[in-house]
Parts: sequence; structure tokens; C-alpha cells
Amino acid sequence: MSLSDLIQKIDSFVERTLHDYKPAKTDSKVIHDAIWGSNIYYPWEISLLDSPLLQRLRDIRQTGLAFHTYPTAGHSRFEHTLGVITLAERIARSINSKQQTPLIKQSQIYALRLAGLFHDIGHTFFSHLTEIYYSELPEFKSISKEINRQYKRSPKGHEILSFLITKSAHVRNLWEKIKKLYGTRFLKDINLDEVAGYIISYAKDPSLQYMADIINGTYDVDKLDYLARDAKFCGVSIGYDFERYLTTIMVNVDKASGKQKLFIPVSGINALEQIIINKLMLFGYIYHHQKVRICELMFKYMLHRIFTYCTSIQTAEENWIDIRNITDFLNYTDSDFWSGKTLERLEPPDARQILKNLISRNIPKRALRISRLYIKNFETDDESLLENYGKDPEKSLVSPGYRKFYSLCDSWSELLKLREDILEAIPVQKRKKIHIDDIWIDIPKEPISKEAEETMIPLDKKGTKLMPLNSFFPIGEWVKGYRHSKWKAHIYTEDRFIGIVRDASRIVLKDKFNMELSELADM
Amino acid sequence: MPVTTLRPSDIVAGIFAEIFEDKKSYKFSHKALHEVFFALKEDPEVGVFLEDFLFRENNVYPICDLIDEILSEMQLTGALSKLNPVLKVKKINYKDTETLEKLLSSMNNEEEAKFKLLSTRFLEKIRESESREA
Repeated sequence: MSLSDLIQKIDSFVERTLHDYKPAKTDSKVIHDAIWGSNIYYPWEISLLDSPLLQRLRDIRQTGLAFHTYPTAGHSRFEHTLGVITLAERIARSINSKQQTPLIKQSQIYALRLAGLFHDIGHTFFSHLTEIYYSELPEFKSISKEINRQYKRSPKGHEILSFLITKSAHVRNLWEKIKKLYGTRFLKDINLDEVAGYIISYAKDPSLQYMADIINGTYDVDKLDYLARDAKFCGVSIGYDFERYLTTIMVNVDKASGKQKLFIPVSGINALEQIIINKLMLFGYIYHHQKVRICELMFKYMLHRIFTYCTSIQTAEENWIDIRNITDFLNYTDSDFWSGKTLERLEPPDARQILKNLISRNIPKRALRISRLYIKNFETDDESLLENYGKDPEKSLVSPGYRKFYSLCDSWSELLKLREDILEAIPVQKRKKIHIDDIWIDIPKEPISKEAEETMIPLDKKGTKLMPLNSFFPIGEWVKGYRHSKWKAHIYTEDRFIGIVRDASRIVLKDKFNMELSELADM
Repeated sequence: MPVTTLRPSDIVAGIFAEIFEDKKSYKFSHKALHEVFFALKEDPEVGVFLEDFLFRENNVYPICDLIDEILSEMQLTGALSKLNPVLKVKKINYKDTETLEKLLSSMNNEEEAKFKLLSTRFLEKIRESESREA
């Protein structure tokens, strides 16, 4: 599928979704939010929020399947969108308050709010859980490359879909109708292409890069909202000093690139550190929680089976859920999968069984934990081992093996192969009782902190010299510490097979990756 | 195997194995490293190896998130280390012969020559940036 094919398919999706929607004139509305309090939304925003395109976000949970571990984590992309709209304006007003003449005009504030409104419109069911799957499809990778060639940005999957939906002909038609409803006085200067650009961090005019930075950048409003919202609704007590952050954020010209960008001066570094550390804490608490991960792994495998099945059959009528290309992911929301109707009619049967297990929370248990801390032979000072690496596998270091093991997180097929190897390593008599789908391997991608490395701090008000955040405080080392000590891969199985799978996994990990695990890995 | 199907992490590991010198460390500041890879991607002779490396130009210098992921993984697994107290100085800890041999064996003679050229150019550019930062 080429980019132009995707644009066409997205336009058909938008046309279908908006088919019966006729925007009605309304007033501004106050919407109350658990995080940011009571906030006003403009009439044209209400007309857009009421459309089925935005309403579908009510049924897409922000944190995928985390609600299966943290029962209160049912917050949706819709709530997050409302938060992002509010924060976009607060950041803009804070920047203006530091200037003699407001830098961001009222119409630009409306545009920023619209970018916030549209920024997650391309999310598919269970948010990043499905995004990770379709982003790896070869056809989507080539679309990402095309977007990169055209816009010099590397947006995530859902950002690409949000960008294309916002630019689509039918959203444009809707916007024109809404503008007519409310008159063009406030809205005439808003260009929907610019609004869409901000979603992928693109501003056609480099002197307006700070506008895109507010929506998608190192200090963007998306991050500010999700950090607060995910923590609150998962019941995790962490926070950051938003008010300090707000009072320090500024716009400066980067002399080298000529771009006007958002910067945080030295006085705001503490607030920035809090944000980075909080992000890391959320990985430990939520995103890398072993129960969250196994639920997500099961769902991803189910999706893989559905996708493989759908692309092998001729007509959509054969399956209740029909996902065979990228835009099909947009046709469903969370409850399409969490209902009895889907359970009865989902094909193929093994996907149906996985979904049944997930819904009834029949989830495999942890058999083995893998971390650098639990590898007995991780480090060596033996020079001969270093020299021999690659020449003699018997004498090879564990760390190259560990690198090979970690690299499996990028390869679905190799992970499935590893599962087969573990099954093979189980003694024949015991193997009869166990099925390949009773073994689950999860190797999460470790978090990296973009902020620590790429955040440039201006040393003076003119921003003539910039220094990376790491020069002031090596916050990247905190991230490294997390990766070293808290990151874990897991092997899961049913309760009754834990001993068998654990023993077989230890054998395979030693044979294939030279990793000898300590007893801590069993706990 | 077409070079565009090679794994990006193997390409970086292969370059590091090619330039490996025992006990030698390199100054890889974040900015310098991303700028070097960005320039190499634009290089018509060797850029084909870096097609999957997508750079975003919304920052003050071009940044490829994939490179950050790869380096971070190499540090986590001990292939690359940072030297204290100047954390931007990095040391390649061992010659990853296995990955390099796997890479080279998947290439024809012309591709192999290009890959070696890529590694040489990488080293030249890193040295240039080292001398600029000195």
C-alpha cells in the first residue's frame, strides 16, 4: 500500500464515520476533569467533539489492557484529548505572558487547541497495543519512510494516522460546515494543514516550530497530560511541578538551525527532571508491570492470528472481526473485542480461545524473570574471552549472547521460534501434556529518555549558547540505572507447568545465549 | 540478501566491529553521533545501508530515535560503555566478530566493499567531530 492508497482509504473511513453527522450550532461548554479541573471548550470544538470521529475515542482506553491489573485505569483517549486541548492553551498563554507583545495570536491559540483535539484521532483499539502491531507491517514501514522523506519527521504510527485524518477531504468539509455555523471571524486564519502538521511536529515555517513543539516535542502537552492522567487513574502517587514548568517554559531562536523552539531555562531544570523521572516510574509501575505485559502479549498474539487468518480468506463475511489492512484497525474500538458477540464469532478458534482467557482473566503465571541482575556470568575481566568472542562459541561472553536475546524484542518470528525451542527442551514424556501456546515469552523494549539526551538548555536569555541537559545533571544515568536493575523479560506459563517450563527455559537460555540465571530469576 | 533488509542494530554493531581497536575510546556526543549518521545517510555511496534510519529535523540537530535505541541496547548489554567522568566518551568493549561475519557473509563483493567504506567514513567523521570538540 502506498501513501496515496492510504490517504484514499482514510478518506473513505472518515466519510463512512461522518456519514450521518450534521453539526448543530451550540454554545461554549464547561467540562469537568479529574486532573485539570473545570475547563471551557469553544462552540466549534464542541461541534467537533460531538462528531463520531472524536466520540470513538471514548471507547479506546489510554493504557491498553492495564485496567486488567489496575482496575481504575479505564480512562480513555477522549479524556486525554480534552486535557491536551486545555494544556495547549495554558502553555501558549504562559509563553505570551513573558513577552511584551503576545507571540502567539488568538487565532494561533485556536489552532493549537484544534491540533490537541485532533492529535489522537488516529488511535486504534487499545491504543499503543495495536499501534505496535501495525507499525511493524512492511506496508506501514514504507509509508513511514515516505512521510519522513516529505516532512523530515519520524512520527509514530498513530500520529501518522491522526495527521492524515485531519488532512482528509471529509474532515475539511466538516470544518468548513462548522466555520459557516459560527461565522469566520475567529476561525478564518486557521489552516487545517498547519494544524495537522503540528501533530507530527511539523511547522512549514521554521520560525513557528515552537507551535509544533507544544503539541509534539520534547516538552509537549501530550506528555504532560498522560503522565498525570495515567498515574492518577492507576492509583500511582507520583507527580511533577506543573506550575513551575509553566512559569519557566519559553520560546527562543536556535541560531544554528534558525528555528524558533520551545526551551526550558536553567531555572526549570528541576521540573524537567521530575517529568523524566516520573516517566520512568510509570514504566516500573504500569507499562512494564509483568501482569500488564502478559495481557498485552496475549492480545498481540491474538491480533497476529486474526490478521494472518483474515489476510488468507477472501471475504470479510467469514469473520466477525476483519482486519486485513491498516485502515481496518480504525474500524474497531475496545468494546468490539470485550463483548460476548465477538467471543462467539471470532475466527480462528485459537484467537477466540486467547480472547476468552483474557476476558475471564485466565492469565499465565510467571515462570522465569530475566534481567542483567540475575545472570550469573554476565561480566568478565578475562581478556582471552574478549578476544575469543565470535571465534569459539564455547568460550564466548554472555553479554553478546544477552544482546542477541534482547534483540528478539524486535522480531516476532524469532520470539515464536524461541518458544518452540523451549518446548523442544522439555523431556518427551512431559512434553505431551503441554501445548506451544502454553508458553509465553515477553521481552519489553527498554525505555530510553529522549529528553535526557536531546534537551538543550539555553545558558542566557538570548539563547546564544545551548548545552544538553545531561551536562547539568546526568539524568540519562537514571534511565540507565532503570534499564540495568528494573528492566525484566519474562517467561510465563500455566500454574501447573511452571517447573517444567522454567527448567527447559534455563537450558535454552544457556545453550542459545550463554546466559546462566541465578535462583533470583525464579522468584 | 538486499542491504535494505539488514537489521539496523546489526549494521551499527558491524560498523563498531570494523572500527574496533583494543583499549581505544571515542568521543560520541549525542549531537556528533547523530550528525555523523545523518551525513552518512545522505552520502550517495553508502547511504543505502541507512535507509531504515529515519531522522527527524524538528530539533536543533537531526535525531534518529532508532540510533538511540540501538546504542542504549548496546550499553545495556555491555557492548558499549561510557567512561567516567566524561560521560560522552564511549568505549567499544569488544569486537563483535560474529555479527560482522554474519553481515559480511550476507553481502556480495560490491556490497561488502561499500559496507567497509561506510565504516571507514564513519570513523573519519567521528574523528573530525572529536577534533572539533577537543
